Amino acid sequence: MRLTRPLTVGVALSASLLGAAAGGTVYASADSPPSQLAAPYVIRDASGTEALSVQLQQGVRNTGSFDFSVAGVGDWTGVITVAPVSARISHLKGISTGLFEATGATTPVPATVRMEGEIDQSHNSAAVNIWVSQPGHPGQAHYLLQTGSPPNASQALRAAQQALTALQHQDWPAIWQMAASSVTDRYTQDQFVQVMSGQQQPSMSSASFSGHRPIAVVSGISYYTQPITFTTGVGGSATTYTASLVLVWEKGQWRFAGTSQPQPSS
Amino acid sequence: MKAATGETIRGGLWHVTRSSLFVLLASMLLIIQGIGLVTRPTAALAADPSPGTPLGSVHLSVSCSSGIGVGITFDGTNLWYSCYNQSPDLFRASPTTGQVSASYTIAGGLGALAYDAADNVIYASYGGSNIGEVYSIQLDSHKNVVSSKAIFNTCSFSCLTSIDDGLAFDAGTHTLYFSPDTSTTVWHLSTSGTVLGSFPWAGTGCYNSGLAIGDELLFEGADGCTTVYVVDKATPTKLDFSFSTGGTRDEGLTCDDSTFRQDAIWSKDAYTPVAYAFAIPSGSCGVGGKPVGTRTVEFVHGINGNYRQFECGNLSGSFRAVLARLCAQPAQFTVDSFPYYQDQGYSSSSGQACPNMPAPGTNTGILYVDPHSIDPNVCDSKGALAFSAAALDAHLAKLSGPVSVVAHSMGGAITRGWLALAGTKGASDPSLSKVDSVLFMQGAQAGSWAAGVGGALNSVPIVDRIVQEATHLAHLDANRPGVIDVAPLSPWYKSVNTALRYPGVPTQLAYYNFYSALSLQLRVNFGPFTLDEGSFNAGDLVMLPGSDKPTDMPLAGGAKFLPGGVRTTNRHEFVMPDQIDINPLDFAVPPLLAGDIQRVLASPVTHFNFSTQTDQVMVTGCGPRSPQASVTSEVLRILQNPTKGCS
Repeated sequence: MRLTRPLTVGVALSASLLGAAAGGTVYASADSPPSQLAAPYVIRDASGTEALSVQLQQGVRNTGSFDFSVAGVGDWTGVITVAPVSARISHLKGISTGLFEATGATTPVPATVRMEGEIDQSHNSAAVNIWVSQPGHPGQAHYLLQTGSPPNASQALRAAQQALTALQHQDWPAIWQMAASSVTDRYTQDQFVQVMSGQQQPSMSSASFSGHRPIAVVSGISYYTQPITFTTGVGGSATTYTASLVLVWEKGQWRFAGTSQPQPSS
Repeated sequence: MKAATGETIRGGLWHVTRSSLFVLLASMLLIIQGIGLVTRPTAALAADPSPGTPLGSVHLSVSCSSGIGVGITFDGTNLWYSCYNQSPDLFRASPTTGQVSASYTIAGGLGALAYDAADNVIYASYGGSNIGEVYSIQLDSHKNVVSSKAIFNTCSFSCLTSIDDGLAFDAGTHTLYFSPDTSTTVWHLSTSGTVLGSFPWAGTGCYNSGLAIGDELLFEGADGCTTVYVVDKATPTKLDFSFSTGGTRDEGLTCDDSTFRQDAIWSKDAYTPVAYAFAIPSGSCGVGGKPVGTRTVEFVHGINGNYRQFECGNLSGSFRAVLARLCAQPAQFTVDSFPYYQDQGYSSSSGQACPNMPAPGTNTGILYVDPHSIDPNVCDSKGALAFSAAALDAHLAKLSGPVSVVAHSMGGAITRGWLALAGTKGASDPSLSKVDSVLFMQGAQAGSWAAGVGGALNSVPIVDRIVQEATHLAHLDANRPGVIDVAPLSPWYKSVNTALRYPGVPTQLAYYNFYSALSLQLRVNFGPFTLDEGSFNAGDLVMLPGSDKPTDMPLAGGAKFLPGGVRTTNRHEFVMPDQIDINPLDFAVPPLLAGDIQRVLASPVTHFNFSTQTDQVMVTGCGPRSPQASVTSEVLRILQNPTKGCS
């Protein structure tokens, strides 16, 4: 979540921050768990606007390459200290002289990134303060990247049921209302309704849940996947399919992202 | 070697003419010493001298202990000579100093020699008890002998004395010309020894000794008559011209297009370690039997590659469809495969890690190089790019022009390094006098995101999964210098771009770039309905498209790069498109995810498939009619006339 922008920080303060970071950096001990953040780990702000990817650098202990992205602004990249404090919790702390590439640009420019925060992989949660410089803007901008409330499993089932009912009835306005940002950012409700209602597809004569899967987190996004079975046509021309409704946890709500590609039921 | 008169002795060590050897040995030594011919080659000449004008001589630093040596051949850099009936019997020497840099024992005695530039092979004939044997001696890219074998025996049609002094290779027809000692007949042979024909030599009064091909001409030496007779290969019985060699006892002959400003023919004296150079008409020497104007295609392979797999005699690597067609046209093309520093091709099963791997060059100039990246025991084709770029700069300077550089993948990054070095030095860089064109095939122009942290922030998980799969398949060990170099925005690329002089590639070079644009069309389902959610251009999965602008350094790297920013008749980018529809929510159903990944990886334009499917990948050609053409045919078309590839 972006708090202030730009946040002007005086020269003296910047210098003291640099000094503090240099003197206060905590390095993990040699017996720290080696597997933490070995693969890119992505955390997203509850707003969906900012995301931070961290991956341990190969061959360099307790440092990670990071990519901090703010939608519509750009990407900051660099290297930051990663201090493991337990098997699944890491602290990020330090100042990096990295690069900034504005959205739509193709040439990055030098930038300073200061970071302080914690990643808890066991709960897929994080809270990281990030101060960044950006060409053309005085001082530094401050972002607080904070994962939102943990996804609610009981709400997921109810949201999935609503989505399936709306889908069965081809209630496209209702579907848009409950749709994930991947849909609503690209289509207005009118556009969405027009695109979907303009397709000649057989209607769903029946639809039901068929088991369930646990909530999963992929690329920093929480998903609920609900397997379904539905039938199109009637009588001898009826065909039964399996698919999965996919719900995304966005801003404290389950939103309907769509379904996987239906497969004819064997 | 031919005897002027006398009886041929068969048997014993000296299977040569009695009167020729012992008498002439002493007399020729006296003649040579008396007239003081042992001189260094002369400097550049002011004007084209007439054929036969002496250009200089070179005293070879190792004499034949047997007292006889007739073979000589030039490989574009070195003079090779042979010794009769002794070991070692093959020597590699500098044509300017005569200093021997290597010696080999092939057969305990050799006669004539002929270099084959098409296959990087020296053909050598008998010189001792091995009467009639002809050998093939394979060289590596550093002109070291790597193997040899007897390939045929001439005694089924010619078996005169124990030494052959006439052998020439014609790369245009991939055939040999053979004329043994004491013979006036020249035999035309296939490289497996099949007789294709024969004809009398053009000289009179002596026997024919040495033979050499120079473009369309066949040079015929006449020992004892101090004359070289020259015929056109098409009309070999008709004398074209001749010239006197002024007292030299001409044995082996070989042409040389680079030691002197003037094209030259070297003549090896029989009894002394001296070779003499004489002027021949300009444009009448193609080294290694090549027709003049033969284009050298220098192939620079990609990461994990092995330079030996891209040689005409061993095409077992990628780009076979292109290289095999080039190799099949030796009159037009010579294929040369460039070895990296720490190239996999240096690896050995002998227990020694990387035998024959040369030390890295130090002329890395402005290029970034990790000082700790030198290791003689590692050869995995992931060494520091600066060493390979410097080696490429030096290597290209030694080739016979014109040269086209064809670079694949990380070879493209190395080629960018060479261009930076050459561009910095400008016209004084010798490589630029040889190379007239560069072709990049999925080149790492600005680096590979698979070598960096890129890709993790794609908001579509299925794209993340595809990227992860591609990264895994690329086998990029991030601890190796070459992989660190090829990461976008690495110190390597910064150093390359620091040297970048707009428009990014020296202006005299033609430039063609082939890159992929694999579009992942994201279509989500709502039951039986679908919704377009945009697309993601994944490049070739290992390399994103990136940016055309030479000065751009995108965070995620790229394969695009258009010097000058404008397409012209000799600067062009070819996009290799493909499109695959995937449902971004399939990631939630493992079998569907696996199927999607499989379909994406099967695209012929991915980095994993393209190099073996250039016949299938289509591009819009750049000729006047711009028809759709396969990459193979478009590359071959460009190489016919690369300086005007799109006119």
